[in-house]
Amino acid sequence: MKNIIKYILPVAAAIAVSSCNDDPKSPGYEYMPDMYNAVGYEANSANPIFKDSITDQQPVAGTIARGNDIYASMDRMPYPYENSPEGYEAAGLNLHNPLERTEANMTEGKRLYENYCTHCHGPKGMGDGLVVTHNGPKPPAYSSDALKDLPEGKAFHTTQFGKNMMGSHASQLTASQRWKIIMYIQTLQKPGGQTAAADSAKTEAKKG
Amino acid sequence: MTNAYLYKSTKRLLLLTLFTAFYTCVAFAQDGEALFNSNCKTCHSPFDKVVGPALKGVENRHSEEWLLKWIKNAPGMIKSGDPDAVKLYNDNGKMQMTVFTNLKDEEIKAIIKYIVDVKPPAASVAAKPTEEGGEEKSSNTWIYLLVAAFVLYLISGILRRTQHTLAQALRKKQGVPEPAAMTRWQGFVHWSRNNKKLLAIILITLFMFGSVKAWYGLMSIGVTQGYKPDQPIKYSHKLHAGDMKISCIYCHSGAERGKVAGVPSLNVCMNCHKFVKQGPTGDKTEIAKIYKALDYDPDKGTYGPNPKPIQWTRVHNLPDLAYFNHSQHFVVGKIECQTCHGPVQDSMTVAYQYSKLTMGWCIDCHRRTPVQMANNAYYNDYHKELLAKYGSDSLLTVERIGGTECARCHY
Repeated sequence: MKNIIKYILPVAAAIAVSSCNDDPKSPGYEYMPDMYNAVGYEANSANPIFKDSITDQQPVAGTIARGNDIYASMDRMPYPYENSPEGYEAAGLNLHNPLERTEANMTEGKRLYENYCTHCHGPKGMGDGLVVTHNGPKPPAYSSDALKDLPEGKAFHTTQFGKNMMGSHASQLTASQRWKIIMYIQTLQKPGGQTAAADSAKTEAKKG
Repeated sequence: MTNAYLYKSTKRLLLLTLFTAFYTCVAFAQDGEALFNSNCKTCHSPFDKVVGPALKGVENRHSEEWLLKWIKNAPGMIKSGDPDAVKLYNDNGKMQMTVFTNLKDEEIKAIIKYIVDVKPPAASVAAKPTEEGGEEKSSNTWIYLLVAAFVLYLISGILRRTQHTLAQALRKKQGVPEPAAMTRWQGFVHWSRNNKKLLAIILITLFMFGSVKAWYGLMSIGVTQGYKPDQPIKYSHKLHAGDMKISCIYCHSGAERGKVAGVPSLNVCMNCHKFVKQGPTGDKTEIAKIYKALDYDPDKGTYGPNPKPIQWTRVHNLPDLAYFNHSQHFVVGKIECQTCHGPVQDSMTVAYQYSKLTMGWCIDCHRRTPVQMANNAYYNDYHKELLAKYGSDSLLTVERIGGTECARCHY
């Protein structure tokens, strides 16, 4: 009988201790857990106060965010054109890139393009990104007849509201970031040449 | 633990007492592996390319002397134009390896030894093993062990019985009276008096095993490394970020702007999934969950009035007492996401916590990562001052500008 104790005990002890924290679906034990879990509501956490239980609420309709970053006039002001075919045309006529075509803006535009656009539009804007080759929606090439003369205002309108299969990217990118991307895309629309759109109506970024 | 180290520790076992030798053995065998895990693992794996190249066979690619120099000051070697160093730099996306002046020569050698000795994990040896297959294998070993233990137990029982019967027969023959019957406890005391050495070995083994287990158990309290919870949608980072190379910040765009990288809102999913309605295997159930949450009709392409957010399970959680800001690291510090989050795009079909996220882990990185001060107007004057003080750019670590001050993160 004492053999049972002799053999079972170490095995049981081993199982007991080693089974403490091996389950990858459990976060394991915490010391003073009240310091690990925030009392306040954090980004993305559920929230019983709001009806839709989301902590990250939209700004109240009709309000403008405050701030004094250098692109505030662009990023914080409401977009003036409607999400309609008329709005699209009006943007094409009247909306122009407020940013100066500088080396720094272009480099940032390229970086943003590579992070936010390449997987569909392709590294050279030919509409051959990896999402497309994995059965995703295929966008037209920037240098195609349909897009090579697209005014920058229309391009911006598209990033604001989406067009065809493309969705709105306004939640991921600020207006100034999207203008920088468009600046870079213009070099893909007419590879090698300056675009008429890029030359026209550029004003300096307004401060404040 | 490697054979060579076990051999070394066996030799010690003979020389020293069993007890001290045990702890030496644990400490020594841990050396290379522990050093690798705390210093190299964030960017390297022995078998796969992470940020840097796969390290297996590194001892054949470079001389030990070169490796010592490289590990201690990689940026310096690249600058000096060492052809091997420049090639490595160019082949790995022009990411500079951090300096490890804190490592001693012996420690680096121990790491190299670990890389030479380490064997690929069982799961990755087999061609394309499924997760279930791996689990089956480990549970099989358990069954074999249990069966073996049971058989041994039976054999020992039979031998005891035989011995007991034989002794009884012998006493009967010699006319010796039967000893008085003992209670179980008395029997145990009697047995332990006659088997002092065996008892001592059993107790010491138990104590050592228990203390090591308890130590590691205590060390894992509050450390959620490897946490891999089930998520409401079986989203695969490997498919999206690996196969299709969608940039991390396309979905986690908060990392560019603020404290939280954020879980993307469903409109970001819909940028593609308005069109893509089934997964690569033709399965529609997971993508249908997005439509259901958004109250979206995929046939008509219209949104209903009752959207409900999807409740993802949080994987990474820093305690509220520590401040961490994503943009500070990603935009300003230019730290790759993979440095902390691991090979998300290569192996995470289900996301898990790759790093420890302990304070020691944070501080380790702050001590060895140089701040990129060149061409940053913010640091113009400070840069000169620090250069005069410490000499080289690669030595201007985050620690040198106060990155290990308590109040930098705890306030």
